[in-house]
Amino acid sequence: MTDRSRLRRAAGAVAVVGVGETDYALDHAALRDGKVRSDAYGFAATALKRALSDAGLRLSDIDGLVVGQSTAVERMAEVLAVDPSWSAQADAVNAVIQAAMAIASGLAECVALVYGNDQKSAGTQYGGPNAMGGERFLAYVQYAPWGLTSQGALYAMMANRYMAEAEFTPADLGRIAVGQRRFAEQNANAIMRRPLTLDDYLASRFVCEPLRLFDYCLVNDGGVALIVTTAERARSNPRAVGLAAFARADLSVDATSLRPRLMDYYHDAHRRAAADLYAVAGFGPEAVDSVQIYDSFTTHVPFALEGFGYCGLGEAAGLIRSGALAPGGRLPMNTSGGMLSESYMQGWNHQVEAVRQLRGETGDRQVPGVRHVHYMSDVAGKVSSLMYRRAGA
Amino acid sequence: MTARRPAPPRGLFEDAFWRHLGEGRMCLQRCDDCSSVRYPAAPCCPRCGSEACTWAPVAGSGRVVSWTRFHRQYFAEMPPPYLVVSVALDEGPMVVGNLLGDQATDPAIGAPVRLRLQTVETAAGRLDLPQWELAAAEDTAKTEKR
Repeated sequence: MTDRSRLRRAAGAVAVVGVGETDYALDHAALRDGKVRSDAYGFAATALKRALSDAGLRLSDIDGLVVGQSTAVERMAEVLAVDPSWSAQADAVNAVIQAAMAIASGLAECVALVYGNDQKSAGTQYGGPNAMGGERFLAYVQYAPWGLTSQGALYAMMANRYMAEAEFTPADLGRIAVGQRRFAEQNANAIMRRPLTLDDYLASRFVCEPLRLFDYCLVNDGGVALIVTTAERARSNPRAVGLAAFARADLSVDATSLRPRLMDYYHDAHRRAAADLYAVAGFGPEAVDSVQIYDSFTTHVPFALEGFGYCGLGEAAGLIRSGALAPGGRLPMNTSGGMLSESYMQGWNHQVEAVRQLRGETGDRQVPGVRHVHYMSDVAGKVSSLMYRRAGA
Repeated sequence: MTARRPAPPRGLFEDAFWRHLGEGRMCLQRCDDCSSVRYPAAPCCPRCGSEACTWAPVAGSGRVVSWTRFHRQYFAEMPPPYLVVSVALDEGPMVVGNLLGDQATDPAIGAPVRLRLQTVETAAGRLDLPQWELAAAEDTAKTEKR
């Protein structure tokens, strides 16, 4: 049983005071010209320098470290030259949650969250004979004799069943990709900024049917860092962004057989996490101004929106067709362009975008009057969610 | 010529799964205490925790839960296009296989399918793969009567 009063205390105890990213577009262009700018650790180090500068802090202020899953904790700490009192390894959303847990428990006071990935220059394989992630998720490798190893294929199977059950078409997937591309056009750091039309989407090649090229996220190099500290230390900082709530719920029973994925689209975990998140925050979707959704594939979007109650089950197409999620809509989604069009940083870049939106620093793509930004992630049925709030909101 | 396929991950319990297939039968572990049937192979029952189980043959029929058609080549052994289906077995568990036959027609969700073993070569030796084909109308009637 989760304890919502303690969850509320932990979320209220922390704030994000610094963010940093590498130059996704420039580094990607350099790589296309054959120039490898750095490795995973170097990208993380660049991002951390920028996050510290953004926060007005020094490396010596850092006493906690959370490292993303594409690098080793010890080597990262060695490269960054930091010996914290506490360190851990986590994906993007759990990095923020673990930092909050460490701060709330007194293990650390100023935590650096760092991620670096050289997946493009290092040739990381998502599917095939050397599919990444099999050591953590058996379903990614279990079905190799039948030629099924890529995560995209698993999402393709979700999409085919969903489209047979709900009134949802391939063009609705396309509208997601097109909407995010329009945001990316307003983001100088986004890799894919060339306008994308629905016709372009529908004319693009299939990878695993019904998913097409533009349903898949990018693969690129880069790094992201965030600085999380105590709410007291952040109190006088007008650029600090708070957490109204965080929540988690796992679905692992029967995961390898794909049952929770294909039979329920992970909604059981969405619902459990949403119930905690909204109860702790004291508000629900009605008070959310922008959403950030983990988008390694477009298919994440309808399942997260339905699971977290932004629309009824099977009704995501209506929300998408209304234009609510696109620039100028009432619920702008993945406003940096997300992993489809900005950069594939495995959820880390969504955290930076949420913080910058709430500080009002995102220029042309700024959501007006934004108070709350909701991040949702449901990778492999492990649902995690964060509700960010503007300072004073 | 025998088709070549990528090798599956192996282990103590998975080995038994493939050994039975090599003997011409698809067997799954049935719990000796609560009778639930499980896939993939595991050291204990996910329903009751019992370690006692018997490898029991499945009827070899089920229904399509979903499908995808590969257009990108991920394995040298497997040129696209090919169909992959998730199948809910009559016994309850869900498994994955290729849908044999016409690769150009989209299978219907819920379509009844029938098991057919296919002998393939892998880097780790010969395997008998459980595969699926659409069940003919009379097979479906039989399945539903039973």
